[in-house]
Amino acid sequence: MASMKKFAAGAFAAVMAAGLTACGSGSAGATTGASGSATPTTSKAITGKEMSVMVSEMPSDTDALGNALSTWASESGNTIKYIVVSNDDMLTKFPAMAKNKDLPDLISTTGLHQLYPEEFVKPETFIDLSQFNDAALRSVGKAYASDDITGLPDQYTVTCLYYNEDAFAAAGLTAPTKDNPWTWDQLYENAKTLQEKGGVKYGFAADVSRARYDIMMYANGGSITQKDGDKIKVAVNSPQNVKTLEKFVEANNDVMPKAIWAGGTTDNPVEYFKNGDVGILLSGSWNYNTFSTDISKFKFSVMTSPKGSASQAAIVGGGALAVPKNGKQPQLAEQFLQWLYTDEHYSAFLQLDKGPSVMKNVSYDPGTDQAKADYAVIQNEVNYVTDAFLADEAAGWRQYKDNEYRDALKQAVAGEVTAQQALDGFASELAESSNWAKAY
Amino acid sequence: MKKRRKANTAFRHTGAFWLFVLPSLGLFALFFLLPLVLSIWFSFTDFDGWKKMNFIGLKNYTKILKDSSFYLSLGRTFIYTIVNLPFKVAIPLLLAALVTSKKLKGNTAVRTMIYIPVLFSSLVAGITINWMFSQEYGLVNFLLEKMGMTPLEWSLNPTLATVVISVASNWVSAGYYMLLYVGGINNISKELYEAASIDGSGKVNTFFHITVPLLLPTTFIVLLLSTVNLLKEYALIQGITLGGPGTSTTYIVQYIFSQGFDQYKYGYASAAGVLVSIVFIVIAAIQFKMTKGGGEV
Amino acid sequence: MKTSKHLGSTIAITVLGFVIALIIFFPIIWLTFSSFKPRAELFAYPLHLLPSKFNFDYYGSVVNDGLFVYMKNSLFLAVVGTLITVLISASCGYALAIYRKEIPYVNKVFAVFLLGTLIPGEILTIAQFTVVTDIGLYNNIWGCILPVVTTTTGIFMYRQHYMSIPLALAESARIDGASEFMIFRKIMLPLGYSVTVTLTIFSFMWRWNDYILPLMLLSDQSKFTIQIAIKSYIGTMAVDWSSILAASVLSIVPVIVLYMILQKYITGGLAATGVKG
Repeated sequence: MASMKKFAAGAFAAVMAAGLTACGSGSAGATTGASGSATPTTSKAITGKEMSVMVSEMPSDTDALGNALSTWASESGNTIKYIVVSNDDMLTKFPAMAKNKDLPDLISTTGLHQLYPEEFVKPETFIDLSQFNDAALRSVGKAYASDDITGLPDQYTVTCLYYNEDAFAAAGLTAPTKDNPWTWDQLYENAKTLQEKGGVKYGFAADVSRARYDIMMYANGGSITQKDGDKIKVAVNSPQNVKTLEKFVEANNDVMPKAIWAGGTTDNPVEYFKNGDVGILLSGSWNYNTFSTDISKFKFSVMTSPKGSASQAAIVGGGALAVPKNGKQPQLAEQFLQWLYTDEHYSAFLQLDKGPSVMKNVSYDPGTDQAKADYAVIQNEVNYVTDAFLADEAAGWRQYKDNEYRDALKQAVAGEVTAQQALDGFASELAESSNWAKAY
Repeated sequence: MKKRRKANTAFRHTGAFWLFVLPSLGLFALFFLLPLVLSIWFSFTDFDGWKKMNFIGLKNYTKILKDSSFYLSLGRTFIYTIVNLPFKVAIPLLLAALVTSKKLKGNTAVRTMIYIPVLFSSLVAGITINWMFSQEYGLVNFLLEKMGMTPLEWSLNPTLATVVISVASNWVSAGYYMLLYVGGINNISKELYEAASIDGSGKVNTFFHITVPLLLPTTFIVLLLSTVNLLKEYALIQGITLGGPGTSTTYIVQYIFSQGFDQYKYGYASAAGVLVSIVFIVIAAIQFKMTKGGGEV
Repeated sequence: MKTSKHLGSTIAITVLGFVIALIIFFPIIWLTFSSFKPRAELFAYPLHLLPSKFNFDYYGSVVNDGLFVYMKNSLFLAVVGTLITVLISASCGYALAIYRKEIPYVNKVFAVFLLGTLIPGEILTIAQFTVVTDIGLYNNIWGCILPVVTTTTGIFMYRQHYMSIPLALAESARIDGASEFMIFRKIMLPLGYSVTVTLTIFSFMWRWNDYILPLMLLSDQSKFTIQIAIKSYIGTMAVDWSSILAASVLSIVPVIVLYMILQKYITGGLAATGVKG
């Protein structure tokens, strides 16, 4: 069994970069009722077939994709056959299926299309990619090692800071605004105040994922790699990165549940937050819906990310729908995707998905004012994705050493090695497996 | 005289031996030995599990042998195994003695309760142990706090983290090895016990002088299986400490996974697996020799 | 006087037995109650053993997801696998024990089987998969059964058991003219009764928990086993612990029932056949 923490973290981490613009501003449903797609459809509609779909969760009519598939099936006169395999297991299952010429027609995945781009149909051959949010397309749909788009994003998520409003009130703090964000130093200081006066055990907590930690690195102007002309160099052990990590280790000792990042537990800090023990939580935007239903003993909200020494920073990620080239009926899957990514059907999808939109002209309309305000903050975070993050993702470093990076950070937090040693060690490992030179 | 008779029947018995062994051996050769040979071949390549497989000679091996974390995790694995081995044998033995006692009423219930933890997947066993020992929300710390004591740092202190893994490992295996011992104890003839009690031997004395020595063949199985299972401990750790804090509960199989499979380096993982297997084989061979092939009764 | 002492020790041992059993079993009680908790209560603190109200939703939803279909598939795998395992392990373990004195290489053959436990099985998975698909067993339940029925533990258990039976027993049967096969079937197999029961319990559980080969080999959802289904509750973003717990609790029922029926029969082989005086 691979660790579930790894899945949970990996899901977010299994993501690529994005240049970012806000999603379209039209409210959900404020779209044309056109059901035809604005895309190059050449073949005639297929009907009476069974489409096999590999998904990672048992589908139901209340989840966005399950609902879309069953609606499409009944409208088009086709049927759906599911294969439900957990995300991590797909990495084992997919090659096994490919070797036996047994691939499904459509896969909902967080990374197969990025890892094995040559196995998938390029969506540009059957759909107009310009209707997609460029950032979402490039972060979720693009192959690791090339610029090919090999999947169409469906679930989309961004780093997000949640806070406990009751604790803030008790500690006399007010949340930062979009125009006046905190600095990371301020966040750590306020976390201390929260711990002292806010009635929470920990001022700050973050998921065990490099996709959380890295927003601090990017905010301080750091990066994993650097471009030197045409060449890529390993820069993960740069002086400013070492400083960021030192600060993070210190924060773990002072205001964070240290066991989480020292790595001796499978506990999820999200649960700590839900129990009212954490003042500020750095996690993914997808948690918002669970929080709305699960948290009743205090009020929570979302806040804009703090500034580092350089800027604010965010990381985006998510899942994609991809069509295996060697599936039995790729045209059937293409037909479904052409149907799904129309304004009408995709906005129905978003009403259930409740996440940021991946299409330029469609957006989600949350019901209440509070949710509208929170959604605006989340949507705005997408703008803070940094160029450094995009360049790192384009370099494809994660293809080599994703877990090792997180483990190096853990060792530093656990106090087994210093921040400098941890990053130096990881830089050497990365340099060796990628054949890139070290910049430091 | 005896020798001659043996020679006459030697062929017949050799034939019978192979016939008895063949179904197991055939399937074992096809589905274990052949894959083993394939894996050894992989270990000399840069196989990625699917698309790439080039012969690279001893490169994987030299890389592993130069990797200090290989030795560190191997060392930790040995310590973990040696420390836990006595518990893996003693606890099931005592449990078996308890549940085979005539004086235990309701022994089906007791046996079942002890056995049930064996049945759960490591995934579920892991979360259950976490409910007990989690540093933040665990029951044990909750009770310590209620009693006015300081909660323990189960996840931050390397020794305590190892204790949690050890408790978990014994918890999921005690019922299993107990069952082996129950079979062994029931095999000991009642007359021996009756004779012992006529001689005025006390219960404790009888246990150590009759039960324990006669259970030697069973103990040999338990010892070997638990040694190997401790050396291979992996899934449970993934559900509890993930190898942390830092690397303090990262054992050798986890090394193979994190350095190999998780990065699609099947060649590297196979080479590490081959090296580790050699170490395990040496350990088992020593155990086998020391117990003279499992005890001749 | 003697009776009261006897009664005293009976009570003492029974109490001790239940106390120990309850300590070991307590986490399972926790787990079972947790499976009825609403999702938001699962990791709530301060701790509560009992759910605020007993909630059967997750049980309903895992059954809706087809849990019983997957259990039926696992049942086939477990029953057939166990039958084969018991038969081939008994004959193999028996031969390894009974001929150890007269055939010099018996222990070497045994050592080959020992490799089966000494090598971390995980490293062989890919190669095993290759072999199984090459002989045409992809998406075939037999592909999940045949590779795993040979178990070193089973062979080992029988070998140790038969080593404790006097060789003279076989010898005297030979003098009476019984063939080697008859000796095994009529005398020795019944004597291995206790091991057979234990191995049946073990093997059923192993097959019930088999995971990686079924995952790689089976491609029809309708053929999936219970463990693949449980694993699929580990979602893209979060783990659906409530469904995992409900499915796990339901999934171990058949194994517990089998255990409760069989464990009474783990008696000594000699006692069972009336050899004792």
